[in-house]
Amino acid sequence: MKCEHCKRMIYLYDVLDDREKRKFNEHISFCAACQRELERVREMKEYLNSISPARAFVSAPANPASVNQVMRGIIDVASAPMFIQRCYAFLQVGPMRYALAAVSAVMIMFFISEFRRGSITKNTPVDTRGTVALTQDLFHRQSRRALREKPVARGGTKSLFYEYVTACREKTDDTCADCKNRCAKIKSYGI
Amino acid sequence: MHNLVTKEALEKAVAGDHAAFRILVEKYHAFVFRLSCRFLGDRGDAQDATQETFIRLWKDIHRYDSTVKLTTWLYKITSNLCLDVLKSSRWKHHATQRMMDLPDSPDSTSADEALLNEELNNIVFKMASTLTPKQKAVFILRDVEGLAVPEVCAALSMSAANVKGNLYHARLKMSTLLQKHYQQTDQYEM
Repeated sequence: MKCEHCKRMIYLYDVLDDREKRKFNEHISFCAACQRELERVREMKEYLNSISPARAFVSAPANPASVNQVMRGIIDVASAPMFIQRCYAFLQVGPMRYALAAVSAVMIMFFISEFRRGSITKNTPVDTRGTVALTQDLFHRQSRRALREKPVARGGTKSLFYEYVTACREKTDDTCADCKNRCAKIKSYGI
Repeated sequence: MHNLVTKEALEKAVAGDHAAFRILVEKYHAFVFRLSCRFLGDRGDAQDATQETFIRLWKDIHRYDSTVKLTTWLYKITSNLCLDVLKSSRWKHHATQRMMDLPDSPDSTSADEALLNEELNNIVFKMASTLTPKQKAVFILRDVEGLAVPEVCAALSMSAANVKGNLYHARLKMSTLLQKHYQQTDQYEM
């Protein structure tokens, strides 16, 4: 080992692992320069050891005013509302609570009526790029539509059909009997 | 006897007892305050850090693991809190020439000894203020507080290699500064 490698070990002499310690001791036994450096670092360590560690002050008398100040902080924290409580603090006000309940009820009624009319399910444009991830119901209807349209080279219709060819190849288990038949038919086009 | 009192107080504090928590604050206040002083070098900042340390302890006391010493946990909370302060831009802005103002050692037998201890503290911690926050934290916990490397790793959430790397640079710098200081003192005395 060279002295420059040993220098790092000198400064870490008390935290070396066994392998490093062995190498270090081998070098230090014959190198006078490194021995002097080690002596200097040890002196510094001894100098620092004369400072009492903070844990020697556990149970040392504390200033009552400081303790009171800390306890005031603790009580403030304990009595302060939590973040989530602060967020919903406005609900503590009666009229606000009723207003929010009314808005929620109106929104629920609106969604139920829209769902019954079918505008949410029937008229919602379907993004066919994520076909594989479609729900069973959507897959059922869309595969029927795709089959009806057949591979006619007509812009969007063609691309919709081709998308369903891919979907049919990937979708195997969770389709209903109708879908399976349609898929078989679609596959029979040999695309 | 004293440990039993602490254990009982700890159990009650976990259950939310303020009076029991006060016993813990009284017992560990001087320790946390002194450690904060060593990190921050300023009484006012150390008082704030002490208060914040006990608030964090109170908030997380339900997660206290009875197999770990409370001092180990307090070392972790205080060190991380002080490290955050040292890294903050506010601190960097105001860090110019803070005079060390550490409290006297309670086990000093004479005024001379207290003075000597205070002087020693001042020299070391003034020099330590030139270290980077991580180097300073590792240096204080290992060389001043005498914690073992795994304890330092746990307190600062650092790997052993990282702790050793920071310790090496800290000791190198401190050794150079101390040597320079004593050369100047010798010249002055001659």
